[in-house]
Amino acid sequence: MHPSPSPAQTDSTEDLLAELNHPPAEPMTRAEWLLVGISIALGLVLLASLAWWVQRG
Amino acid sequence: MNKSNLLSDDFFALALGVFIVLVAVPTTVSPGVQLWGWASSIQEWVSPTQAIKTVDAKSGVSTGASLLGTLGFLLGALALIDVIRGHSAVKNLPRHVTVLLLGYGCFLLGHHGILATTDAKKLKTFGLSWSMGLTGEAGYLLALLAGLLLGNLLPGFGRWLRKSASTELFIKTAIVLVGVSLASKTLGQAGRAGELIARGLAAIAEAYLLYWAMVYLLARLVFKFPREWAAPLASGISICGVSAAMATGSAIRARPGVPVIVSSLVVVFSTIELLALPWFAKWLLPDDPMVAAAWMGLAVKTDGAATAAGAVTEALYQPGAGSLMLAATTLIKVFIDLFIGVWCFVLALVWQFAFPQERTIRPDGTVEKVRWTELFSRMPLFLVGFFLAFGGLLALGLSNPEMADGIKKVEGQTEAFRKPLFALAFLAIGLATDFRKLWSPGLGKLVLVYLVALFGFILWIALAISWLFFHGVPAVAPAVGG
Repeated sequence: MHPSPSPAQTDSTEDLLAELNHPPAEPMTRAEWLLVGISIALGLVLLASLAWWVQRG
Repeated sequence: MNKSNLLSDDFFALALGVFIVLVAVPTTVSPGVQLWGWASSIQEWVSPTQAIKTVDAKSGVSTGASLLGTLGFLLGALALIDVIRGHSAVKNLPRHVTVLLLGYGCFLLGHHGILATTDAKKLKTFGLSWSMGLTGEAGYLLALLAGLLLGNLLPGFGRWLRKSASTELFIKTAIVLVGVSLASKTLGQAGRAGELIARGLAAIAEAYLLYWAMVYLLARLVFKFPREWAAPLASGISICGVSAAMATGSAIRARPGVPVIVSSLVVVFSTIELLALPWFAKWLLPDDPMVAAAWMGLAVKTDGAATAAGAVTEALYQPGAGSLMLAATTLIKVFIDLFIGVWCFVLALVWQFAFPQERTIRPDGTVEKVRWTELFSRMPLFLVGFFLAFGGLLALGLSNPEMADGIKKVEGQTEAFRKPLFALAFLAIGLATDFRKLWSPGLGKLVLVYLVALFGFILWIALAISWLFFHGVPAVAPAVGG
């Protein structure tokens, strides 16, 4: 269940796509910034470590 | 595990794949016993009598009986799945027969000398002056083409067939069997398995940690998508298509229509990638087959299209017997899949604590909490089969080197099913690809995000990482220690 949609927003494909073309304003929250920030940082560290390990071997 | 998991394509792929492997396994202890020895092995041909041989030349089974038996086994499996699911096996029989005949027929046709032959000596034997040299895997392309034509030009017939042609079932069963092939090829090549696995780990870092975050940022910041759309879209584009989009949608409690729309787009784009990327890779990286193979695993979404792209790429490079190209593509895809459960659990936790208004509220008014069991319930089951087949046979071969020959024969038996299952998956991918979806009103914005993400960074980061980890790795390693 997703409690946020207004009565006009049903689950039909047409309505969902129409909603997507006029999305409600939903700025990025701190939690989202944290998620993508940690994700990218961790990804880069992991990649660099693996690349170093593979090149060394 | 709930009932829907037990009746899913994922579960049946695990069961069917493991069954095929288990029946073949006695060969490891008694190489003369090949229980699938009667099954059909398709050969290159110019005269139809050359097209079909039995897996075990000494089986004494006629080619006609072998072909009927192989198709009959697959038909029986599909009918049994119908019965277990409570569907009418009799009603679905014509559908199953048509799908099997189309898929197997395309696979057979793809082995014609004009399309498949790569060997000059064989060309001479066949009395041919030239060939397209695509190997027998040209059959996959024919199956894809047949599916695309039927699905898009005869949509009614295509829809009728799609009730039988499950990409998920065919490709996931085939992936379990790729585990056998990978184990067999790895045995005797000391260190290759560990090396491939370590390189495959890079795929996880890329798909989950980098791609997901970048696509999410693109969707949220540039295209102003709400969270409910951005998360399934990021998973669909960056991880492994349909299953990731659906699992993410469910983890963040999105409305069911959202991941369904994202998934339909992923299927169309994956097919476009499958049609173009292997040739582009061959043109761009003529001397780096393993980079190309890894690139397919990292860049092409959906299990079916990625593994299929790996098979086409291997056919284009023709690295020879013992090639690890398809194994590398599959392994990377499998590694990416393996973490769907973990990633969805992370997303479910973030959504539960950061966006409490989007929690699922039960009818009694209580709030549904994220459970640890979600970690396992979202784990694709067929991966268990892949690792059982790969790990089990590898361990058996490493601890009993005298069994290496038997394990090769196990591979030979399972290949009789893996390859036709691939062809069936190509057919199913084609049938499921509705190019008209790209022109659906309102879909433009989603298509645009997909195009920008795919051509803007996904393809190129995947290429860079494939190069970094697979450049110079030979597609066929010299055997070490016999």
